Amino acid sequence: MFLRRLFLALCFFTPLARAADMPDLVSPENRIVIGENDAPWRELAAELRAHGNVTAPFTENRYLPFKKIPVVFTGRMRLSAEGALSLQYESPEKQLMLVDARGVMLRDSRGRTREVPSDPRANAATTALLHVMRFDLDALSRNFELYGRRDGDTWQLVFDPRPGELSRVLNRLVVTGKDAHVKQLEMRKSALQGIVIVIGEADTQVKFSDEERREFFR
Amino acid sequence: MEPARQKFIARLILFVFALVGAFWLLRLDYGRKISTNVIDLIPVDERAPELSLVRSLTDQQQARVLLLALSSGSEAPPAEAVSAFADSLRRSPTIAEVEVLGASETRNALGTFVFERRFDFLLPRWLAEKHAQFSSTGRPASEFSTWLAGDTAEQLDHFLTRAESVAFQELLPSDPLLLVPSLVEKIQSLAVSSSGEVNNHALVWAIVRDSPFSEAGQDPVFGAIESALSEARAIASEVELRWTGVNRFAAESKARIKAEISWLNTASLIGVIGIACLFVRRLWKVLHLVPVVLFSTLGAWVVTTMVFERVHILVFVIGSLLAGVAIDYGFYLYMQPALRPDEPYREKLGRLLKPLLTSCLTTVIGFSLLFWSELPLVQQLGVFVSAGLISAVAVAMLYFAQLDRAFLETRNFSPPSSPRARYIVRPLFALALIVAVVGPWCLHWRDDIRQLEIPAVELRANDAAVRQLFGDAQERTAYLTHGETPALARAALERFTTWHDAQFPHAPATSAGYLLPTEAAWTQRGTLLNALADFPEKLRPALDTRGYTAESFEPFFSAWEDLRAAESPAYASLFTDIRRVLTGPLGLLFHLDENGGPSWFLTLADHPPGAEPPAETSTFGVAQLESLNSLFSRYRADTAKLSIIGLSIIGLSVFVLYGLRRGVRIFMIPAGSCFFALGLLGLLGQPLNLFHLLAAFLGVCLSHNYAIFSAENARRHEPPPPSIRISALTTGISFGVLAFSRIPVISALGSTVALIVFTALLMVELEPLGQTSGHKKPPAN
Repeated sequence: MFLRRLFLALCFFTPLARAADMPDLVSPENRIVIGENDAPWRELAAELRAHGNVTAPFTENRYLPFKKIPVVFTGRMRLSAEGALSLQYESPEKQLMLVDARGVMLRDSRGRTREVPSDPRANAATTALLHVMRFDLDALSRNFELYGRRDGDTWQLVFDPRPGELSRVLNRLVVTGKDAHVKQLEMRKSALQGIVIVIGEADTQVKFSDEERREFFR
Repeated sequence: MEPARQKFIARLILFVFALVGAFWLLRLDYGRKISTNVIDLIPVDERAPELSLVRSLTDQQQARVLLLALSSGSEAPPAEAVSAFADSLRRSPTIAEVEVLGASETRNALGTFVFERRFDFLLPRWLAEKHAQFSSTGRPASEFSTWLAGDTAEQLDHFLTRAESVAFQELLPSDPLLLVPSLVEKIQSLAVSSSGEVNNHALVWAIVRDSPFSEAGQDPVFGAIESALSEARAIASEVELRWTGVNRFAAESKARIKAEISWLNTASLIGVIGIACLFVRRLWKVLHLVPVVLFSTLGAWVVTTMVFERVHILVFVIGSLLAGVAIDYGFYLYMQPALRPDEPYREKLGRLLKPLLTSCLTTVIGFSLLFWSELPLVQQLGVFVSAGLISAVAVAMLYFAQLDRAFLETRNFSPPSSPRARYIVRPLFALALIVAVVGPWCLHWRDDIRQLEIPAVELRANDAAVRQLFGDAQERTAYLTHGETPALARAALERFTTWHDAQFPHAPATSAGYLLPTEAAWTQRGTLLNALADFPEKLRPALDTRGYTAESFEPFFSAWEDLRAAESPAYASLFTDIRRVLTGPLGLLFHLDENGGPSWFLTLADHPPGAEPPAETSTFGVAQLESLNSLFSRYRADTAKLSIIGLSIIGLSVFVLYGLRRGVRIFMIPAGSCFFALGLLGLLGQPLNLFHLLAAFLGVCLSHNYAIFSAENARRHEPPPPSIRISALTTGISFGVLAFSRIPVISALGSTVALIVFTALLMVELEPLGQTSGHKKPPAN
């Protein structure tokens, strides 16, 4: 039993364990100061924005403090050039989550749509997430401490919410990428609680059909 | 009687009448006596319970709501400015309640309440449902705990596979039964409509203390809002406000009606003076008709305000048209020449008394019947006109008794009599007959309560925009579930929910009532808890088997033990608690009577109106406008029935008093002109409503006067008396002016009456020309 647990921990807690190394990254030398050392990151941001519409498969691992193994979701994400993020979950249940300027919308497999009630804190989180999606460094720097590190063609960015309303609803957000592609999004609450989204091979400059826009956006 | 004594008595009676009337009217509290509220047009004890509920809901609850949306350019205004705005409103004595929607304190208080009391409010229903599911498996009762533990773990698994479960992660160790997440899912739509910031607006909800239709509910409230906005702008100068409330519409409507009455009266006066200048030789003598109209109106006001506790303003607006009827008696008495130069007034009056009283009393009988209408407006109008007519005829007789020479000379504009005129007149009558016979079959009715008001386009657009910010979906259907007690209302809500979910599976209903358990589930809770004594012991391994760490759920197990040890509160105490916590907009979604009396729940569903709930659910769809419109349709049918009875009585009395042959002629003029007017409207495709019907009734009474007053002349083959011409023209012009009113019902009333009056006048004038023998020359005036 102990071995089984250890194995599970090794398998599934790895991303969180890696994230636990973040103090290395969250240090003064990696801090991005707008107008001072942000030039390389602006180039990356420009490259990411130049992708236009993006679509990619993803795997989302939800780590819960009361569950021994994470809950795993798989699906396809769509990021529109306008900055709306659509997560089409395919397993364990078909459902859709859309995050856009109007807030968060959920649609179940029967097509029932529900809008998540907006409240100031949730709005702040949604807005922040959208800024992340657009890599809008100026807007992000108003609400987050930004840290970044490059290692060859891989890179990591940390968005640490500044103390205040946002920090109560959004945890540290870590974005990992390779070249001009985002590979992983990680939101951590604690060592045992967090969400890690692993993004597969992305298609860029995708043209969403009208039907796709209707189905996956609003 | 000596002329001097006759004058003295007449003046004394008029003086006393004026004094008593003025005394009565001066001591009235007009704010309380006169209503401008459209909803007051519905009887307080309306026989259909759903309409009574809609009336109460509209009048007592929704009408007092203010929706205020603050913005600051393209961003939401600073929280400090919103707080300053709300605090300023709270300090105002005109505002009873203020809530900043989405304010974390309110939301947190509600969330804390629901979470802390989840075993009282949510567990009973959960247990009842689970027990019903378990019973359907046919397993022995002793296995309930085991089955429930397995089911709980399975449902938890299933919940965690949903995207939104992430929001409840912190809660689940205390609530593995998913009581709170299930409620949140059920009442999601309510939360959307009470969220705080939409499209960069901060939303503030408030309740006005006084009725929005009263003075206290208007200007002082507008002042309080202005002052609150100033306070917000002191913090953030760019703050903008958009708001809506029934009081805005009421104030606007009142202002527009005042302006309307002012220009309509002026136009009407100019028209009447124009006619008088044309027909009357000595214009100043027309002033003698003014007291008749004034006293008639005084009589109508005094009697109506004496009889009714509260009178709607429309009665006075429509009733002011009484002047058109009242002046007929004055014209008739005043314009009749004496048979000889020394004919005493009493002798002249005796001669004219029969047509005068016949015309007045038959009309009064007709209007009195309206008193039996269900609609307060129609009742009040019946009393107003009846009292006004009796006053008019009495005052006309008394007033002219105290004049030295009660005679108004007129110019003669009789149409020239020619034998060939009948070749024109007869085809005209034939054409009119066709219209009168065919046209009414083309009539169609449209009852719309909005026609009672002047359309305020800008305010409506603003209202729609603000309501959209507050989450009012177009495709939303509201239902009202009622019961004799709170418990019965909740039980009915359960039956309704079952029906609704089966009928509209993709658009579940949402109600604040879901927070409350049914009495049956509450009673069952104790028994089921006893049967689940070993539930924690069963749940731990069930959770473990499914990959959970059972010890993480210790907060739940601890709360479960506390629950089993605690004493259960009384069911009625739940009502008090729920009333205390559901305030603001949510507080308008239910009414739980403190004394256990009639109560209701409002349920919202995101779908367009569809099938009506069956009677056993004690629920009905609250499409308020449609409800009120259908109510008006019913009242229109009622009024039509009374009008037909009234007209039959008038016709019958004419036949009794004038015999069959003359009776037919007298009856044909009002009936013919009425059918012609309705026929013409039908052929023109004009939809009719209750007010066209009232106008037709009024028009018939007016033309009935002309028929009676011209009866004597017709018998002698003489042209009709000039008083009819002047009377009909002045009345027709007065009503014709109303046709230009922006209030649809007033316009309907004016155009219909004017059409009937002009038709009747033409019938009276042309009838002799159409006869083979023509008529004699008119008597010299």
